[in-house]
Amino acid sequence: MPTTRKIRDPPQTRAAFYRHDRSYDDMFDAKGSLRPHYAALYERMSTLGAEELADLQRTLEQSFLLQGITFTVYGGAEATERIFPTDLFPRIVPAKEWAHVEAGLTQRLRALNLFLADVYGDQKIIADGVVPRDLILGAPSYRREMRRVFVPHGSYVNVSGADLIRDPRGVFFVLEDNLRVPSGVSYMLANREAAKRTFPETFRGARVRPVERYPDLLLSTLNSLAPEWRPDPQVVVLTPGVYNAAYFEHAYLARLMGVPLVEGRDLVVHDNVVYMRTTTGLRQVDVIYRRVDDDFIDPLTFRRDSALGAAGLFNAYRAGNVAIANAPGAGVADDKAVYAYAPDIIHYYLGEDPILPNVKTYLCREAADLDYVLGHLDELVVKAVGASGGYGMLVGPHASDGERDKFAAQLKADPANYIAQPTIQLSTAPCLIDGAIEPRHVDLRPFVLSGRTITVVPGALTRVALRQGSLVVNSSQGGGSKDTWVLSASASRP
Amino acid sequence: MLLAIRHRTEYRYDAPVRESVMELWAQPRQCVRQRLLDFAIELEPAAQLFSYADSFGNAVYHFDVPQPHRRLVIHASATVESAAGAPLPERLEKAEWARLAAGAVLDQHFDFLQPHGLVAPTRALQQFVRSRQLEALRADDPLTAIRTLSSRLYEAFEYEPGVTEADSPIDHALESGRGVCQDFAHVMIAICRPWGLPARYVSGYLFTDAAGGDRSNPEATHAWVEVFLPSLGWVGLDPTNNAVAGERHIAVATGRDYADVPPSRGVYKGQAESELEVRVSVRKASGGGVEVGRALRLATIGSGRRPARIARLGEA
Amino acid sequence: MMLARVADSLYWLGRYIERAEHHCRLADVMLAAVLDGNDAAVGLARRAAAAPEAGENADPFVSAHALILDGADPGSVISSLSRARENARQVRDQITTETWERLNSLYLRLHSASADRAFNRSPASFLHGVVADLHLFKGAVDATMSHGEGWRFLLLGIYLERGQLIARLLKACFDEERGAALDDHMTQMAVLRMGCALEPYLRVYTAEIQPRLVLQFLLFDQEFPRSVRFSIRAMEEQLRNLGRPGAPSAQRSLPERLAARLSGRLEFADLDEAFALAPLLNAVVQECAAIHDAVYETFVRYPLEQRLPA
Repeated sequence: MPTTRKIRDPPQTRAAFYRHDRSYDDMFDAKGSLRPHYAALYERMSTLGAEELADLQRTLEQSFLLQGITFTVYGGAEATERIFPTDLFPRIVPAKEWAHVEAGLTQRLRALNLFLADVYGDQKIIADGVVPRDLILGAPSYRREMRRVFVPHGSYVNVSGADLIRDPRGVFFVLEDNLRVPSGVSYMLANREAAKRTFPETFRGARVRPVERYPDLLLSTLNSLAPEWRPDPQVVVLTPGVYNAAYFEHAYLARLMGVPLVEGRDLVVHDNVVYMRTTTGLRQVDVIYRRVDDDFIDPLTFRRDSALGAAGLFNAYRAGNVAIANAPGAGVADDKAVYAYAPDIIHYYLGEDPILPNVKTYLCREAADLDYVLGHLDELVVKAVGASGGYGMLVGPHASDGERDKFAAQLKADPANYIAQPTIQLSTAPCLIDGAIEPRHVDLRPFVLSGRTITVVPGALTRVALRQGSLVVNSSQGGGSKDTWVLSASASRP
Repeated sequence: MLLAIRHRTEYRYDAPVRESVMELWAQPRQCVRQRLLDFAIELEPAAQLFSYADSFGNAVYHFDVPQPHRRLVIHASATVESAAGAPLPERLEKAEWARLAAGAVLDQHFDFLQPHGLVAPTRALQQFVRSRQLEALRADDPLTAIRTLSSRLYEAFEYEPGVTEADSPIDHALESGRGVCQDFAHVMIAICRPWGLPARYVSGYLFTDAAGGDRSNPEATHAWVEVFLPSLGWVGLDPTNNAVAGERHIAVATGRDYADVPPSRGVYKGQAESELEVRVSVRKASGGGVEVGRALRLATIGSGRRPARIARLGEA
Repeated sequence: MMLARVADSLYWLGRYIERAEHHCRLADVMLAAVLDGNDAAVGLARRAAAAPEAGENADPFVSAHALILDGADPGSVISSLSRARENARQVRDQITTETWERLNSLYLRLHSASADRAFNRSPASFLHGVVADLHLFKGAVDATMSHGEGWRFLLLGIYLERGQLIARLLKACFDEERGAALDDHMTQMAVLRMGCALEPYLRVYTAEIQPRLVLQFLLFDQEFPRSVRFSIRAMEEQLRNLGRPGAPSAQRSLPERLAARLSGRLEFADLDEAFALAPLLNAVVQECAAIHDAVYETFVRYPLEQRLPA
């Protein structure tokens, strides 16, 4: 077939335009050579002109907008819907690297589930002095109501989405565990759909492991939580409603699992059993995949002013008449201060060394750590223990003297509320920025399901800091995302 | 002392409401000082009762009323045999303070040593402690300290219902110098905890002795304080009535503060103003005719195992 | 099995879609009548649209623009579509992607910065495009959604709204006091076009348009999907299938019985009765409102205590 496309020999080394800093780069190694697993994609990228790339990007964005893959931004007179920016180029993770990540995440979640069962049970890890008592019992995310409550399979965290980062040597670290109601999995699935359409040949040649089974894996995980006397359990997804920023994802998962998407007002608890209002009367609900925070699931037991949950839900849960995923109170294990103890927690319950290391964490509640942090504010990232989404955070190296002074005052006023970590130069991956291919900092959020068994889905949401040099990948702070290709172990291409 | 307790709670709504869901902390505790002989709850409209034990070991009953209603009445009745308990010693050694600081005490009573909810070290509280020179009490042994503290609070506050709500922040009482039993209990707990004294809120009933100087309203529920002393265990003090909790005090539930153990709490759906009326009577019961164990099933704390299919009160 | 809230949203989705389509057609006829210099038809369209603040003397172009694009007017097409989409978003898990994308793309188009320009440049082609997109949406509903409970609630909304809208249109056009306006051929054609009935009418009655036959057609035609009789019968069919088909009539749901009664009345009414028109049209509008209430009582906001599991 004749082609008018300009044929170039794709360069095997880093092009001059690819301004790549000291970070680990997914595509080029430190010497500037192309990593073999990127060869096919790079070849394809090099054949595309700026205009073609821009076209593909536009088509991609248009398709997201049309599908309603948007989040709502409030402010001003009217709420507007925006798409979560998506980058054209997939990120590629070779099989061997993935096997390491998979083993590490499985190990970590096993340990965290055991930890939760313990802190809501006999509290042996506290009695043995491995984790300080006040750190657990004093955490707002610790739910006394969960003491000795039965949790199916001891799986408190049914869905988790840990944030991983790579340091300049390429070593994967766990930065956050995200055990409450992690989101982003719909972007993983939507990005994959888009990438398949954008780079069909490259995709086919690369032997990418599928992520498309996520919905049915999630459903069987949820089904496994129902009591055995309910052989055909009714699963529902509980959403705060259409105004929630992640509503698209809630509806998407409900649709792909084929289960009802309910709001609190659809649920009613009668005689300790949870029902939903259907057109033909009440129907019993067995498993609730809730995308509503602990505080809001039951106004009787938790926040009185919540209209997002159902009154009496927790009592039905305690009585074993309904399962809730993730279990209430699971958040105590992803508290930013408890995070620092994750390696000890793995040792304690499994007798193993952590496969995926933690980022060095200074607990400002401890005087020596606080002194160190105050003396090194210009090198550290300081985070408020209770905050998430990139809020309440100081990125020392990028802050002004004034900002650092202000933060130091907050720190001294309430040290227990802060932790600090060294600034890690996140790894980079090639992104399409204004028509050119440039490296941008990324992290990696794989999704792990845990019911009767633990499953790490072979894929992830790669979040991108779209601003040059920025290390903040949160969508609320100018981040975007891209597809993540996990290659099969027997990939045909080297 | 054999006491018969009648506790009637009535919620009235000015328009029909529906889907009321309620929890009750109403069943007197079983403990050394107190034997529960009989307990029953009757509801209007009728509803199925369920029970569980909360994380502090209190029995909680709950139920729901789905249909529209303008009135919800809860009758709780109990017969309790109470004893005064061993008399407290005159004083303890000062070394008791050191025993309180032991790791085991701090660990076991963690929750009762922290500020929580209504028990908060507010500026008004600090001001109160300073102006009354209460810190000086810590020079005595802990038992003397808490007895004196209870008396000082009794003297410092006027008993006056209606000035505060059951769940008012302590600042209301501290600023006005008036309040009711919940306020005095919260203030006392808030002072004890920073001193390293594990202190908890007790919700219950009082067989009132007005002639003996009790200030409490005999037709209301009562609240007082228990402080943990390693050589004595939990010691009950009633700052409302300047008394040590004895056989006239019937404990129902203990928690960190009032909000952990309200006699009743609930939510409903509907646009209506609600009005609450509570009537309590605590009388001496005649010894003969008490039938033990009618409709009584104590809630037990969860085992961590899958609960039985549906736990209904009264089912085998 | 379907959540009561979801049924409610699908029902309203149907109603808003139908309302948007009808109003597009009224605006289109109004602007076409301006070109023809037919003031009577402009007046009828205005009355049928019941455009509240648009007085008789307002510029028809301004009225039409408001009827389509005035977001502050709850009756405008853009408001109806926003609400339709809001309802669709609430039940995004229940409708197919094909259905959602048709509605979403139309919504995005009407809300885009260029919508005003496109309308001003050529209102007719703009409106033509919107109506065509609404037909695509309905096509996707029929072709991609399972014809189960959700689909039935959506269609129930469409037909209930349509029955009411056509009854209102006929009330506006055949109002006895102003009936005289209908003696002109162009105006008669305008009425038929407001009911999307011109071509189907011509096939049945040829180009000799008579007011009596227009009424006969829009009120009673058995086969025309926008006649009042057809709409009410279709609504009844959805309600019958939502209940328990085949059950003895006394056990049928209240909305089904109300719809059957109304349908029966229309089935055996004839034009002579119809020329005492106002009572019949009023009955249609009132009964539709009663059916709406009964649908709520039966499927959506039923008293909980009557539906507790045994």
